[in-house]
Amino acid sequence: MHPQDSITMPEETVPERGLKSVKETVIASDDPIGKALRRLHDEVVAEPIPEEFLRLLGEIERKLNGAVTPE
Amino acid sequence: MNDPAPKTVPLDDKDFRDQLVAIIPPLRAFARGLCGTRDMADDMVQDAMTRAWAARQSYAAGSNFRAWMFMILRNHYYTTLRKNARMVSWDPEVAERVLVAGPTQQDGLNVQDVQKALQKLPAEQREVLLLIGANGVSYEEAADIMGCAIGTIKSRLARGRVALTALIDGPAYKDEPSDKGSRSPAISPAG
Repeated sequence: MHPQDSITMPEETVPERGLKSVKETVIASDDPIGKALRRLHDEVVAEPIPEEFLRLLGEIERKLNGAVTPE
Repeated sequence: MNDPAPKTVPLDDKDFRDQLVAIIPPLRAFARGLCGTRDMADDMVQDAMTRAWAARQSYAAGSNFRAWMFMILRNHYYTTLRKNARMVSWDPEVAERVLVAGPTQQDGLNVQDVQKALQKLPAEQREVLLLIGANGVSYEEAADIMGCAIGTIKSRLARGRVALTALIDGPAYKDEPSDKGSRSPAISPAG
């Protein structure tokens, strides 16, 4: 089978290896599809972070604080 | 005697938490594009954050945190997708609530039209368009995230762009689940 014929459906795992550094690649700036995709992205990024995320981060904070052993 | 393999150095918990906070907005944007609905996408992101926190010891400090998080999110998305086929269907009523900002068409294409069309694409084309076209990741980073070759990324991107254009412009689009043998000059990397 040609490698490009397969659809990636990975098992649920987290990656353990180090990942390569970021190199910028963009769709041409005058491309209407690219513009629309970036607007989609930018609109979500501009939204305030919902309350449930703050609660989740609060739980993480509590775990962090709980991990500190007082002298 | 051979040297032992280099040991992964995990990030300090506080730094890890800070990186997690910083990645929330782009992760939400990626998930929204994948899932098509705000609630489902945000649930996905929270699950991914929880999984990442639980697995933080396996993240190597200094490596690409964004790619690592996107990988966790997409793995979780595909696992859920297998369990729940409803995720790939597009509900027009839900579509009305997807973008809180409402339709925007300052110039070019209507964002809601693009969002709707994205949901009709094969998942692997949708995610590559979101990663490269929306999030601005490189071919190399997208290949890392999706666990495939750069050539596959380019092929999926080209096919996805053509399919998305066809969906938006008219009914000529046909589902093409395979990446085989397609090439389009419509997308070019910067440089």
